Amino acid sequence: MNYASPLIFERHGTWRIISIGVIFGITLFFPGLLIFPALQKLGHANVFQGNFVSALLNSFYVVIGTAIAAFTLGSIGGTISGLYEFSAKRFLLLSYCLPLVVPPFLLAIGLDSVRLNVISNEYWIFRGFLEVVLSFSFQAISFVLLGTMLSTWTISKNQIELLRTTRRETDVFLFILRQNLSLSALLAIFFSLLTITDPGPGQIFGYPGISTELLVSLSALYDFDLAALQSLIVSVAVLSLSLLVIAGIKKHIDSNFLLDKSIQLLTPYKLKQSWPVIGFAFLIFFLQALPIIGILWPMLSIDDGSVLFRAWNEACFTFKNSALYSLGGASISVCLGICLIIAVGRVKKLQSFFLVAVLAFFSVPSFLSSIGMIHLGTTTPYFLDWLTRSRFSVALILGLKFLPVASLILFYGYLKSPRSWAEQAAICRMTSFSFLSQVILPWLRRHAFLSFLFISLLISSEINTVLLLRPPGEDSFPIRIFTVMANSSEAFVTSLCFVYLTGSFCLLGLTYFLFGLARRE
Amino acid sequence: MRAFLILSFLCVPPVLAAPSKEVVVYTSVDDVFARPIAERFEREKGIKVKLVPDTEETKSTGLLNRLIAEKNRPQADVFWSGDPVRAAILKTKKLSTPFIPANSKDLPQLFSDPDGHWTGFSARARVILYNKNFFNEKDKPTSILDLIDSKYKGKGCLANPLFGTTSMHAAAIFEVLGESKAKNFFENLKKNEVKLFSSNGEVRRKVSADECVFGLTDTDDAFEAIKDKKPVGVVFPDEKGIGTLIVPNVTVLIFNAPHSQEGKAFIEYLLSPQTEETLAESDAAQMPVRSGVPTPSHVRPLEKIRPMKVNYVKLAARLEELSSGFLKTWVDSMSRR
Repeated sequence: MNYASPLIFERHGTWRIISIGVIFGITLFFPGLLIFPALQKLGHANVFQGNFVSALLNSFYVVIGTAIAAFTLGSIGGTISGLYEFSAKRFLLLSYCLPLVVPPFLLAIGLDSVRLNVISNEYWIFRGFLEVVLSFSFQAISFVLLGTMLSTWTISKNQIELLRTTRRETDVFLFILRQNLSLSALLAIFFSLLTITDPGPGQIFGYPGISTELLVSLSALYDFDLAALQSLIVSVAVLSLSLLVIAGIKKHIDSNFLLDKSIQLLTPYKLKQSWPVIGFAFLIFFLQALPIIGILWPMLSIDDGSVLFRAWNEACFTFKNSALYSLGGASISVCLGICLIIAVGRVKKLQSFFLVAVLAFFSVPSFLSSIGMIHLGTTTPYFLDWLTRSRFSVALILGLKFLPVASLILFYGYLKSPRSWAEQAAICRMTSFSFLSQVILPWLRRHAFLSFLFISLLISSEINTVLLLRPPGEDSFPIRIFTVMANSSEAFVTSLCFVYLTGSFCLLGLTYFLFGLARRE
Repeated sequence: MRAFLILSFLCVPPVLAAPSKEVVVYTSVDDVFARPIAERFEREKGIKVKLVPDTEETKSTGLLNRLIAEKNRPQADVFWSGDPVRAAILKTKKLSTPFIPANSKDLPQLFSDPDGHWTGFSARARVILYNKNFFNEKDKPTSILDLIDSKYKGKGCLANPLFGTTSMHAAAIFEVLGESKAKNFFENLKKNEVKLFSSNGEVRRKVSADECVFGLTDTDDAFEAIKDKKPVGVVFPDEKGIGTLIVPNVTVLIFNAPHSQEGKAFIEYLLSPQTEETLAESDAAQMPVRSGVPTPSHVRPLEKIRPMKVNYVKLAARLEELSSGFLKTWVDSMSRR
């Protein structure tokens, strides 16, 4: 094979296997540090003790429930957001995204607070399982909605224009909804898998899943080996489930998600009399606003303004670390994601492997990577502390955690580049390096930027990794909130949340603005 | 790529920074109470304190896991624990080193490890938090046994006994009541439909919001609810029975600590009467365990509480056995209800 020719990017080769192996090797290295030693004890450990199997089933019910909620609301909401233009749309879009920056357990506390303080208990229809599903759905809905909206923008303009002339508006809407279905379903399943490793909402609403079992193994029994083995079994179960699901929707994925087509931005519809559309958009808004209302409800009883000032000081004090963890982690995700998707390319077998692998990796609990990194830090010499015990190590583990998200967004973008470019570049005698740096990377710029912003937001709500890995004295703002919330006054905790949410809202606004600029460009 | 390199550079601390006098303190005590003391120590002794606080609110794997994982080359010098059980676990896992501070001479031996692996000071207590909307002063609950009284069926609550101070309380109940009576007590809790929440903070929230009429929690959580003007009252339970469980803070010097001298200085400072006084005056309203330390009027002196008679050294071993056995099964059965 001629590695100097740009055509290598359109052909299969061993370099792809090696590159994919290296990248997945890096991502699995840290959890592997715990899992491989634990495997030796597989015969002795009582992995299936107690509620393990029923907890695993509970978790899958939550995944399914969350996926259904996210798919239903996210796909319709995303199609509306992508297809229609109306005056409150920008504000609504920002509001939809707000739950992305709030950790699910805090969303659960917010939801519970709504039940306790705002809506009377007798009118509250959600209980146990449904409350857990709802708590997880807030983030999943945002995720699916945004993905579907972007997908709507890439549907062929000619096709839409043709439909507009011959069909009713409802038919056009349904056509686009159908086009988006496979991507929405994939995103819904993908994001719902995150619920498996988060014990917060399940514990708050008394519906324990497998993550609670893992928490017991770690924080009540302090048995790392048992936790690692249980995590491995969870990942194998998720892998099997992912294979089944992907086999089931493979046809749709191939025909829509993996279809090579160039982006043609859709001219937005002008909304005139579609009140059902506005109604649905506001329905999602009210749903997404529920936990935020619950979190901020105690603000109504604050009579001392100085707590807000104290909260602001805390935000300023921890701003640098918060930004470094978020932006550093997102940079690592995006850089590795670009390498990964170029390695996968348009090779069908590798694409299927890639989808299954990222789904399975997403289900590996992040504490395994964190504790793996801590173990590594205890065995490496002092002069490597900058790598294993620094803010960089926090950013690295966070970046690896969200690599699946970055690579999926980038992958979607990569497939939109025309195949013929490599052939044309070869005719023009471009080298593979020039083709990569002057054609592929600039083409991916927009999706890289989008995934960078998106992952920065997701990382800003990440608690557990930062809690375990942060170097002494290097707290982030969310960590400060959660380390004081147990025993600070309600007024102070609410003020901290208010400052955090306001900052996040502004950050989301900035993201939206920047993305708008990038889109116009 | 350039942005990535710049960010990576910023994430890395200066490798060649001059070594300074500092102490790294991991603490399970709430940040709002620990930080002012750490800052005062910095001012008075000129040693920088890097505080790494924990939280049970995130339902996460906490600092103790980090300490265990860092065993071969620890970063922490001192572990300031909110209860002795976690300190005893560190001793079992050979993560602590014996150190008998000079300031521990006038502290009661009851709250410290006889081998010097951990030393106890200011204490909290396990109390009943009740909602005043449901109780008069006369008929308020006075014993943990009220949780199994049928007249309160479905109205009481407690935190998950596999975690935090509730786990220690569970182990203490087994030690005081004996195996058989304690198991009975827990089975009756189930029959009486006691609600199980994820943390003591949740118990405080649910009792304050009328969702439960009373529950077991810690004094600091209870006082926080009172400070927030919630309609709640506090009872030190079983003053005529098995007594109230006292939960002292403890300090642990980490084995192979990188700054052991500074760590010892910090431990001496924590064990001083001045720190006990500060913790008593703070919102934590902790009770000094040494006599003669001035306390505010709302903090009940330890002498006026009937303490549950437990051996704190044995509690850790008891808890380890219970966590993987009876308590785990009990929590599983509660979640299946």
